[in-house]
Amino acid sequence: MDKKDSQVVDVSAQAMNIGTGVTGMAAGFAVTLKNMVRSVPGRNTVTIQYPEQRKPYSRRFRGVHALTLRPNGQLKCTACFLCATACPAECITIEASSVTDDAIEKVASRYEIDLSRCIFCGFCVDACPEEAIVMTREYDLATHNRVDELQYDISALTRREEIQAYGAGYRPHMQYPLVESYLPTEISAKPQDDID
Amino acid sequence: MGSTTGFFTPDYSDEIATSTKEVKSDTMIINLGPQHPSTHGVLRVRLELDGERVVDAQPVIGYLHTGFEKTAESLSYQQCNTITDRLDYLAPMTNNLAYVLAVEKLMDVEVPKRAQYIRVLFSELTRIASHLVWLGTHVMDLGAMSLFFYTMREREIILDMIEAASGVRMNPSYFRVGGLAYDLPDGFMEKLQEFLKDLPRWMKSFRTLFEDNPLINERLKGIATITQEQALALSVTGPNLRATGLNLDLRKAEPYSGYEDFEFSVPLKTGCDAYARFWVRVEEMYESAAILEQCLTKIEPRGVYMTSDRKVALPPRDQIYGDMEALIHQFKLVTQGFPVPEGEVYQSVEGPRGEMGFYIVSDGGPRPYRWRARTPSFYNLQTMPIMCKDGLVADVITAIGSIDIMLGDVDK
Repeated sequence: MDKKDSQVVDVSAQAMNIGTGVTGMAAGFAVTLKNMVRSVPGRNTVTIQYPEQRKPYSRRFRGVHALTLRPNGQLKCTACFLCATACPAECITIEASSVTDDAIEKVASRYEIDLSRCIFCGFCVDACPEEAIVMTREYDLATHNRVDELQYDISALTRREEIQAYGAGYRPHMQYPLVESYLPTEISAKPQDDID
Repeated sequence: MGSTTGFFTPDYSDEIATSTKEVKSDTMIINLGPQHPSTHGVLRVRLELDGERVVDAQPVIGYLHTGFEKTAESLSYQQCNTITDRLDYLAPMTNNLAYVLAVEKLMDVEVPKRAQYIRVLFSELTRIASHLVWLGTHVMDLGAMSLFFYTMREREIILDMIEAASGVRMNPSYFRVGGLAYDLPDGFMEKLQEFLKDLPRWMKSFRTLFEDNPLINERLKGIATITQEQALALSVTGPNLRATGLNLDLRKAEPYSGYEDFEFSVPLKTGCDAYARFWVRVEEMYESAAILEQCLTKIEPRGVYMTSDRKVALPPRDQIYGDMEALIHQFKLVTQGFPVPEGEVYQSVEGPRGEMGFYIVSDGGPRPYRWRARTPSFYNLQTMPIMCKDGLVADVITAIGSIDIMLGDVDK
């Protein structure tokens, strides 16, 4: 260990001095007053007016999932169950069915995410070898009913208006261009929102 | 009450003052918490009072028990990462670090130097963020209201940086076995530089609020003392131990993740009281900032962030779309996880609250056989009876705040 690390400072030797105490308190009040004056509305405020004003999040934000689509409007998911296996919270339910298209053979006939169990770790997005599941920047999930309204099925995961409104969040190959046509609706992020 | 006590109706009769024989008639038992804002979570302290003097203070824990250790035994090693975030949720990065280092030690995985330095970067960022929350809440417990708002304002900048890198603010799971989940985002270093430029300014204004303030000093000096021998006997670690004059910082004593390449000093105090613990933490924030300054020059903005070992790391995305072997690796890693050699390992890191360690026993399979978290707050909380004995009731609040406990860390 370095010599300077073992230097010992005895704080109890720094006894309290009433004379400096008064000036110390006055200096403290000056800081509070300065912050108060600075934060008159419109100047230096950090508080945001939440429902009207939203905090911008990065393109990595792990919000509610979205399922991507093929150019013909079909689900990109081929029901390989990798996302359901990777999920630590076991919140993804998939049922597969066969299709006549030889190139795909299998699609998900049922795909449900129980968002009341989801921990938003993004492991499902990492696991998917097809980029069939991505995340959006939607984060406000309060509902009146926790049993039904937080069970998102295929239609909720593809055709919600919020996907458009909040924009695309985390997807695994951020350094490569996003294939926009795969996404359920046209996802376009506002340029000033882009941190990544 | 004895006859009706069954499995679903626990027997609380020993905790009711009037029904216990051994309690002296001139003392009173009251509960502090579990729903009290100054207990920093769901902590319940069973106080035995003789007038205004505390005769005994016993922490009653378990209100936040979540069974993380048992849950981890049914998850793969990569999935366990998400649990570590939730132990000490004000410093998730150091929890991640302790866990991934433990698994990497067992598997003998080589982590790129750049990834190690980024781990140091985020560990120190969370240390500052955690100490900021402690500073605000502790001082608010003592009666100063405004500092809490200022510390939360500055912590927000750190959370924004964590969000920009990992995607979420609170439970990032950013460190993975073998490296990091994703590379640093564009413009991260500029943001960090800006933050570090601002830090001395706001730290100075914070210090003006509590330095030389007789109200704060009176509430802290000589309050809630614990000697070095007592602290060592109770396995107290972190700033609480360094406030007793013992220089034990795992970043120096057992360097991990490239800490040996950074120059910093360890703040030490000998006061053994709440005042000494206060200043150890405040000075630690400056040291963390000094480490972050060195990170600015040591870390390239872009580069390798994950090990190339395909047995641990998922293949790069561009290979998955075109390469059959990469796709096979992806399926194998996700469905089976990676097997960890048989054996046991203990790895600890210096978290904001003390020694954060993981003891993992592997039976050779893809899931841990035993997953034990050594969480610092659990041990630090054991000092409550010693610290509070013969003190005043108001000083119990000071004692709880000054050891900086985190109930997610205590109950796990």
